[in-house]
Amino acid sequence: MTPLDSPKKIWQAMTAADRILSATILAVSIAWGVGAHGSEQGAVAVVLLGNEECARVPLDRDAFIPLQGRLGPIDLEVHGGAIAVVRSDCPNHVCTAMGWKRATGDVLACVPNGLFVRIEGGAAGAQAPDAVAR
Amino acid sequence: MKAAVHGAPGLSARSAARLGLLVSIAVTLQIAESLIPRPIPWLRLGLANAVTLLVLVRAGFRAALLVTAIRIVLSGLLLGTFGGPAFLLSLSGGMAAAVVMAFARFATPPLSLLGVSVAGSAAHVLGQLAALASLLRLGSSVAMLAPLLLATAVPLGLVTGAFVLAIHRRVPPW
Repeated sequence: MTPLDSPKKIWQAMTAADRILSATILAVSIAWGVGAHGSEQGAVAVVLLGNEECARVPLDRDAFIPLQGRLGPIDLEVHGGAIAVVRSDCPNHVCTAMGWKRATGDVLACVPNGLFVRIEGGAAGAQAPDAVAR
Repeated sequence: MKAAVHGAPGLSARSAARLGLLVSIAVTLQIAESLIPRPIPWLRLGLANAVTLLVLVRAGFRAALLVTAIRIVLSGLLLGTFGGPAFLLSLSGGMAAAVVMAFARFATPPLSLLGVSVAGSAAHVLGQLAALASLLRLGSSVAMLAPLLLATAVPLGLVTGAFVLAIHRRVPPW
């Protein structure tokens, strides 16, 4: 009995069904990879005002979004694939200080105005999970 | 002589002891593997899964499921991941692998242990990804990693299968 200590020997030990199964799994993963890459959607900023979704803003087009918050007007701006709160009538301006957000999973919030922005979709960025399974 | 183990009807003392030994081997392998640095968090050889396959072939589906479940719970407790996301992923992956391998053994045309191992390896990846997508709601990042992980399941499954085949040939029947 030959030891299975090289790829060639493993290949020779495989039955026809083994090879078909392996080839199928590889084919599926390649098709999946190509499909996932082709249909990849750009990141979208989901805008919530007072816990209700009021807009979904694609980040691939520059835009200016004036909104009406609890305390007063609040303006969002999309520029170069990132989104920021550029004006808000709130006491501390934490929201405008949060700066530009672009990665999936990033959030912007203006608590006094009841605004919450979450970036969804797009490529897994810095917010991808790490060290999940052992 | 077949002394029944208290509380586990149908399980002789001999096979209980053997399964305990196999669980400890599986836990050791799983923890040893978790200490090896990896390029991608989910990418690993899956030697602990080799124990599942060996038990499946030698002692049947129930024993394999039992050894796998105990292995994952004990490893979770020892690594401090018990109940956390890593634990849930490990559990769903391990269980999916055990179930799929149990069916794959009886596939027609027949798969060798190498093919069964590849099926288990792929099922492990898909089980983990399913848990990742549903429990942790990480749809997009899962979609990014899935094809790569599924592709690597084939060579890794073959290596694991080669181990099991070698052990199965050399270790005399129980």
